[in-house]
Amino acid sequence: MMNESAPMSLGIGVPTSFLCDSFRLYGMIHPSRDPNQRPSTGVVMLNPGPTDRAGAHRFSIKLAERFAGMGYPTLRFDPRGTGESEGDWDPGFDGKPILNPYDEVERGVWIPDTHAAIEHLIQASGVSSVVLGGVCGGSITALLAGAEHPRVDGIFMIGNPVTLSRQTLTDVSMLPQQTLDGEFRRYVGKLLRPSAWMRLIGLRTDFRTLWGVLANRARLLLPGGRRGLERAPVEALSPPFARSFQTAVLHRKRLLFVYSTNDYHWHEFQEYFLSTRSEIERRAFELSCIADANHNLTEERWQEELYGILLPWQRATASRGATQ
Amino acid sequence: MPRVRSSRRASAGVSVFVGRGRGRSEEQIVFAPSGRELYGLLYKPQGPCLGGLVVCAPDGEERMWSQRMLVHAARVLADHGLLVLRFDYRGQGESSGNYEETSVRTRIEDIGAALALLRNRVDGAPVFLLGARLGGTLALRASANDPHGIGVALWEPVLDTAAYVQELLRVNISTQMMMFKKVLRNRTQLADAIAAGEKVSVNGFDLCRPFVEELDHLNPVRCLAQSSGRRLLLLSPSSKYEGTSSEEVLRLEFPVFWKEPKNYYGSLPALEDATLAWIRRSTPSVGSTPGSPSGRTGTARGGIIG
Repeated sequence: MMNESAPMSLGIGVPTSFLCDSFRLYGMIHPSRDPNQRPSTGVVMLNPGPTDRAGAHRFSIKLAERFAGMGYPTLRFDPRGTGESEGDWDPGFDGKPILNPYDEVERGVWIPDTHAAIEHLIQASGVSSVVLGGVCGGSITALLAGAEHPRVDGIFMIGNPVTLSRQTLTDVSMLPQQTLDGEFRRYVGKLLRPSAWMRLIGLRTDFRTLWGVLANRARLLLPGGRRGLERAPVEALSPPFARSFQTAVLHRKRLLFVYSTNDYHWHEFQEYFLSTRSEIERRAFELSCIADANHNLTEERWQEELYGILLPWQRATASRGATQ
Repeated sequence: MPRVRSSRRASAGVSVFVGRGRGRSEEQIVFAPSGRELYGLLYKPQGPCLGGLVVCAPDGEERMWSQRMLVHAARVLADHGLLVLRFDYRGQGESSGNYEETSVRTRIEDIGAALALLRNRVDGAPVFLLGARLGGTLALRASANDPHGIGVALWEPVLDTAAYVQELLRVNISTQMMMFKKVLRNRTQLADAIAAGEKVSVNGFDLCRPFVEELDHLNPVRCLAQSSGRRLLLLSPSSKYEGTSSEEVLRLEFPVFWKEPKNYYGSLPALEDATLAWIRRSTPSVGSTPGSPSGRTGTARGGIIG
């Protein structure tokens, strides 16, 4: 009988490490806690970005414990240059925008590490296939690394960026319209706040964003403005994401997208990706939303909602993998 | 294993990393004082062990943002002959337990357990504590119980724990603003809720009464004034702490390593160098490894100690 109940207290995994391109990568395996079956499917969880394998508020550990409780051995690991693992980002990254390493992640810099992790989990736990997934940078790494990998049955993507963040976040005009509308409302709300005016007078306001948001609003007021501002979504979509999505569909991977509605990645997903998918493409993936949640799902009830979406999907994916 | 094609970009991307295969000796460990399981990583020197050092990490979300830089520091210090132990307090990182069940007392117990483990491995060589942010404050408090008069290096320690708690509560208010577009409970109300036994989430880390109450009573400045061992305080120029004659205080420029950064930093060379120099003054053999007359291996400051 699988045990999907929440662990009373987070346990510790089994420390593990493996080599990839001669970098030693450190991680944790959460072995299956279901004594009644020999697991055939495991889970590899990917890091959200250049932070460690525990994830924000240890969310990756919470999730791994749930998977292990259901009978799926789960590996979390630090890819090169992050957490405890070997390798350092080139010194040229130091002191430069954090978006630079994120950009590398969104272009697939950790694909080799993920492939090594899949191999390691298979060898260590005896599973024959895996599900890949993660939050934000972890989700895009999962898609890029798993799209055509023969051992990958499914990919879950939580808060997945569909654009290249370095491009979107440094050019206000590339932000989705929903996000720009939200920013405009936020500025309006600040009009009566003395502290906001003090920031403006003290030149501490983010003038680039303010100007971009106001310019967008001005254009909207022009006749046909909203239509005129509509960008061709293909321009905004991340090429590695678009390519890997097509590849994953072609290879019949099970795909799950989960978004928090208070996350600008959700706005991007709707405007640049969902709105342009054909009916056939829409049937190739599952999509769930968590209302009002933020990017990191910091509240317990949002996390519970995610478990309610993700764990049944995981079970279905593993069942399909076992029958193939 | 079936062959898998890697994308062109991915193989190109590997070149953004350096420090390949340095062949360090590192060991993941799980130690279990009084039934709780704590996770740590030991960084071993290549030559003889000249001393030991326990790294006390910042707390909660600050741990996550600073971790990589503390890993780098641990490797640099091990390169200079120290056996270094980085570990996670219970309820944090990779250690067992839930954050909301922990307190200042449990963190100090965990530091004590880490110290005991390290002392067993250094064969009588001197041992130091290095604490960052609240980890520094906790290290200071833990050292007060230490019969050996242990030396403590503090990196931008939390010296005003009441203000620290207020900062944490401010994070909860930001989340309220995002969720409800207004503040439902201000900081006073949140503090009252904690005092009444409620959990208050700070970016997913639940603050609870024992931890907050014990923080209130910690009084790090008094701890500093009463301490007898050697103390090194590395503070940012904006720190208001004046210092006393009993400790060494250095004001240095370094990035805000404990918060979500706008710019990437993989190491804190100014803090690493100052700490190493301070350790070397009490243990001259540390850092005098052949081929590194400056006491720093690898390339220039901020370079790769991969």
